[in-house]
Amino acid sequence: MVKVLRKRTMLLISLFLSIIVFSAGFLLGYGLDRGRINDVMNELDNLEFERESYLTEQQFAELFDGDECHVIYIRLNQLSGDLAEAGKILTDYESRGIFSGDDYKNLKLKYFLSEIKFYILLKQLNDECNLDRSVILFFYDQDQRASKQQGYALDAVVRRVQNITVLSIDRGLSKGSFIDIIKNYYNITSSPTIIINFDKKIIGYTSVDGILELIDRE
Amino acid sequence: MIREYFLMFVSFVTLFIALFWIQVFLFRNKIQEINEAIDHSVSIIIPAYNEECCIEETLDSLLNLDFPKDKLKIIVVNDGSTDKTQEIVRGYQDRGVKLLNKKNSGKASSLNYALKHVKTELFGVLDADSVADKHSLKNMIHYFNYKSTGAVITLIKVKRPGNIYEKVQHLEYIFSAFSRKLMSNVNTLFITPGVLTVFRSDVVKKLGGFDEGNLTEDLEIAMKLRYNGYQIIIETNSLTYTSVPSDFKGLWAQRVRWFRGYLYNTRKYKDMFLSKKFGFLGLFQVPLNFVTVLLVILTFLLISYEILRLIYEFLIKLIAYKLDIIYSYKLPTLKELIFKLDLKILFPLVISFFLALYIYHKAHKETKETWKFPIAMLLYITIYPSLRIIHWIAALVKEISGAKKKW
Repeated sequence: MVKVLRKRTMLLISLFLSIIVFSAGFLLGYGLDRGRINDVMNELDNLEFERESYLTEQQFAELFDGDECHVIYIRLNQLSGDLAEAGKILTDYESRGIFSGDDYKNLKLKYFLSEIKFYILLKQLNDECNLDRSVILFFYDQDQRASKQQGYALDAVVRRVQNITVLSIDRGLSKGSFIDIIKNYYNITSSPTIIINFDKKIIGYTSVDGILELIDRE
Repeated sequence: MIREYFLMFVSFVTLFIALFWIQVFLFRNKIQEINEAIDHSVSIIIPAYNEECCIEETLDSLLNLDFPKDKLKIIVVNDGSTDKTQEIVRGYQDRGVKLLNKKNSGKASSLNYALKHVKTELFGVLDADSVADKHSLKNMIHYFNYKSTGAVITLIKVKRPGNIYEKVQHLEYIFSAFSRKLMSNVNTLFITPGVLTVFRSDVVKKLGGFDEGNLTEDLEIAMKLRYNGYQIIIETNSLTYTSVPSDFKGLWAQRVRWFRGYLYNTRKYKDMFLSKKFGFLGLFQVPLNFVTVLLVILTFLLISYEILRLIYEFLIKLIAYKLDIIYSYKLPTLKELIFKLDLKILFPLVISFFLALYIYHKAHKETKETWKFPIAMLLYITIYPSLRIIHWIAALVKEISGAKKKW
């Protein structure tokens, strides 16, 4: 039989090896997390580049053609799709992050900044070029069932309607940031809340059919 | 977040336990073979209730034992059978088999009844649906040269595994035999199955015999022996074969009874929990078994909740997407798959999985078995653990609610 002393040694060795394996798991997880953060940063950089390109094209058209509106539809769909994709990746990665809470918070703020810049751009196009596109601004709360459900419904709407842009903003992340300005403007006090085409505010969950009907009416 | 910490804890405990038992296996002391003359006499008790199907084979196996005939007594307790059990055993009386008849009152009561007729230094218990290998008894006896030995158990295998239930249990018994061997190596074994366990007669009599109200009298007597400072040893060269439940209902009834018995006896001998007096058994094995059961049940509940949550979310998506299933599922890219991994939980689990495979391989080797029954093996790894947990939950509910004890 194994002596008591050896049993203790074995327990200690097991504990030591378990800690090593766990540490290795954490290190690998941390490495993967860095990869995820870099991936999101690349996505956001690309978005910024696309937006800048779009603005440059618009300026060029305005100066040389005298009509900035004709470049509208060239990049708009791509920008809108890329923005949605970056948002999805960011949400997905955030739930798997370790030791990177602040990094993800900063990335999210950066992402929401891109969204708001895009929203301003869309508003400008709507006012000046009579934009033939529906725009939905969606305020959600993380880990809230109704918000999640609303997200799925909006996802379904995007798949059904071609000319639509949905921009999602985490209501809880706004304290002291630029998001407050837009939140205060629309007086957002609960989630989910959606703003359809810059002025129609709907509080609470709205079904796919409900959204489609509202878009049609607008 | 709590869910994540819990999974990390489970993953850590799994790894820790696997690493410990592998060390026990790798650094075990080789027990030297002792070829001493047999000077102990043994009575084998077979409690039987309606065992006409199998008692002949059981008795034949005992009569064929490589053991001095003058030192072996065979006692069959007919526990009020209503079939031909009594008639069959009568046919063996001229070959030295003693038949005791009594009213039906359960296995433990039958064993106590027979114990009064035991005059030998040692006695064994063999279930009427089990058979002993020719050399099994001979290999066990020398351990009783040590005063501290209270009981010696055998390596049990499934008798002629036929259908899928029996094949899965065949694998389970292999793994169980191996884990008992490891426990025996660190002197923490606390089970004396009814498939040929040999006890020291005077010790069991002194301790009051078998607990008649107990669902698992074999576990109770083992814990009683350990509680009173006696050791239990497994002799892996002693092979025995037993019948196992061959359908879902039979398996359910047996396992729920076993697990209820475990819960009851753990409570009965709760003094052993974290007690220095019982050495490594009290400080490690008993708490480990308890914690393992608890963690396994909690993990199962957590996983079930997660699965239900995913199904719920999927249904919500389906409804949102107007049942357009093509919209609701998109194949992930390789990058997405890699980035979806949670390595801090997954990495230790993967290592534990490989360690488990190693243990599984060694269990086969040590029990002189080959890897067979691939479908049963797949079921044993995937579905069977969940079924066992459901057995545990049912046993827990029955024990807490004080449901009637049925054998």
